[in-house]
Amino acid sequence: MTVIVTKEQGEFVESFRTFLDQLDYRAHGLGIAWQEPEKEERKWFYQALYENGWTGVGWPKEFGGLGRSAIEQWLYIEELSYRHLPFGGLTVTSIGPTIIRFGTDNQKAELLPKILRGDIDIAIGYTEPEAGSDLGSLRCQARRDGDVYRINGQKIFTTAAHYSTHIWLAARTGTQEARGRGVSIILVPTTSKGITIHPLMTQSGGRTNQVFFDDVVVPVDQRVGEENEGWNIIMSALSFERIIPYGSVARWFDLTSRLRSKPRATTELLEDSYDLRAMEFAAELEISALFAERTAREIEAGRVPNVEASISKVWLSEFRERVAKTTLDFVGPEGQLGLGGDDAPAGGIFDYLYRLYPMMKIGGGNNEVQRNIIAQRGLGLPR
Amino acid sequence: MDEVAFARSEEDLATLVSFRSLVERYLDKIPIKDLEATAVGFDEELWLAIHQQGWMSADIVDVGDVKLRAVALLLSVIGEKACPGPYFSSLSAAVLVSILGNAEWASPLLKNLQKGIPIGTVGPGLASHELPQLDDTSSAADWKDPWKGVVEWGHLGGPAVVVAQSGSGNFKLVSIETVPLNGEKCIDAERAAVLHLPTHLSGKPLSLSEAFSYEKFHESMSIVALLRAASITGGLRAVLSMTSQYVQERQQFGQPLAKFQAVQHHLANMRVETDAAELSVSKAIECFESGAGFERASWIAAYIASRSYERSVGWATQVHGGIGFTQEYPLQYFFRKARADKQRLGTVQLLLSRISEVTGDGDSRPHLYVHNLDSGLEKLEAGR
Repeated sequence: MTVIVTKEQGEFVESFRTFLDQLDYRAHGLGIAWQEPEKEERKWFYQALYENGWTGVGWPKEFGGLGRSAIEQWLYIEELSYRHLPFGGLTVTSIGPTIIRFGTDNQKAELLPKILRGDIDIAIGYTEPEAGSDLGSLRCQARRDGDVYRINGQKIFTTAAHYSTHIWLAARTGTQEARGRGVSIILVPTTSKGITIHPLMTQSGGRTNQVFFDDVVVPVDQRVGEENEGWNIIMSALSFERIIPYGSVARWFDLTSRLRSKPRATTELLEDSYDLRAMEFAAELEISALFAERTAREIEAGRVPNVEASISKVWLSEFRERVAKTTLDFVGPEGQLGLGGDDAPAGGIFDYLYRLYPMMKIGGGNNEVQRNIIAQRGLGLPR
Repeated sequence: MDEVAFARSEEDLATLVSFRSLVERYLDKIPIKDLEATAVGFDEELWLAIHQQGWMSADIVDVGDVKLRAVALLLSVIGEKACPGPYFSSLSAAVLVSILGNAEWASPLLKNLQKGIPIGTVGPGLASHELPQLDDTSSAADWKDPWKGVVEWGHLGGPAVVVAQSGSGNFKLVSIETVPLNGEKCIDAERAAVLHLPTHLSGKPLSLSEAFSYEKFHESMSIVALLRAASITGGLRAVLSMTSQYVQERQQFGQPLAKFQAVQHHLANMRVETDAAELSVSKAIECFESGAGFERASWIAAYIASRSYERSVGWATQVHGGIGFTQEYPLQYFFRKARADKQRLGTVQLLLSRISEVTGDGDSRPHLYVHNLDSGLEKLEAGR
């Protein structure tokens, strides 16, 4: 896709691309779509970014960031996404900016430099077994006891909790009836006594977690924002993660195109008739990119792109489903060979894409909820 | 009605408001249903008013000077109103003539259009090998083989511009008179005629442009496809708007249809498709204006918009129930037009293979361009 940028923005992205080209991240086991980086590899990469001045792209300069525009942030994330590199996850893109907005001076001074250096990784603790899309009904309780909170309850799908230093916990500090108005955000160290993290392996081979809180004691000053006003913080944090990069799918598309031009000796990997489907995907990939660009430009213009982000999410996740299924349709029997096998086509990426696609339609607010948002906020239909 | 994504400036918005109100004024007097029943099939008074107000003047399209965004906006309004008439065929022919013809050849055609003489086009929607072929060995410039094809609004007696194959893989535009032709009704409220080109035109002179290359052919066809996509976005907006309104008014089971989640999700799908089409058209126009390569973006816009249109009218008809299926209700014009416009763009295979002709360097990351004061638009290559 053609993107017209300012000279400064262009130079920023070119420099970043050059930096990544020269960084031997593959030697550290990074840059592989289906391989979740280990904690040490991730830390190595974040350190490399930090030491070379490539962290906190959108953060204000006074907090150690680069103070770059939303367009630069978008292109930066696209670049990392295309190369299947970690981009600091929500810790850098979402939690950091939220602490800048709602945190105390002490929290900013303590946490922000560590986030930039990659010393802190924060997992999001929102979802519970009985509170998924209906987050306002969450039950994990933080009871005030003098200068501490005592936390009891359970979270699920707490991805990254097993290697994170903290959990960004949405806990009930008010009544159950108050729903969203009785929720606070508390930053809980994962080393706290009483926390148990159980792995929950997914069908794509990735790991997420269940986290149990059994009378976990956390100082009150670990709360971010006011008590019972966590809902605004959750909403605000979500608005920082509105840009949905298409880079990893673009990488898939490019990889498949290369396979097509070099059919395997043993079998015609993709048939001629696939070419037209590939062009259909080229068009749909372009739309994915246009939706991402629009979201970035909305943020750049100072607007919160709720509906635009929902549209982007629905489109991209369902596009991923189509490419996963259709590509396998054309691969034939060889496509049954799974990830990790020596003979799996393209190292097994098709297997990985197929297993992963449902998560893309469910995670980050499922597509049914996104469609509600589009209809109600975007078209003014009644709730 | 939501505003148009590719109306960027105050001038664009003024164009939109003014042109829309003109078209609405005439359609209020003679609705499409009545126009469709007339012999001529369109509102000649509106056609003349559009010319008298300068909407097809040299300010919009002149030799070598096309205000593509303005043409796209006009056609978007025509699409929004499903207004039948030789608007698309004439404007797209004018754009082709303007881009591909020299002043001597193109000026008379454009001047005629400015006076209100419609132009038909033959060629867009066809693969290059399907085009009529000129017999370059004949000094009279005859056709090599008999040929027939569809000309939108070709029965009105104006000239038609035929994109023809010439020798050595080149192409030429050929201006011919179309009378007498028999106008036929289309799937939608438009009319078209089948043009028969005999081998020998018995001395009747053909007016030929200079030869142009396949690359130029591909580029100019992509512009016509982009204009079609722009027109389609108007239809998409109209269908989304009328359906949003309908579901909020229509009550069933004691509440508006809009309260049902299943209905809301159909509407959400329509919004996603409409935005996809509008953004793709907007990007292609931006590329055209800035001097970046625009063919790929244009073909993608045409493919996505036409696909979105048909999907969208499908959901809209489902949500409307029986009333949307009746001739009393305007949705049927859009339902029919979505399919007819898809046919006019050519086969899906053709559209997709056009995209493949300009699908690039195997690197799908954003291609960055910067405006350079000295050298114009510059493509950034470092780190790719």
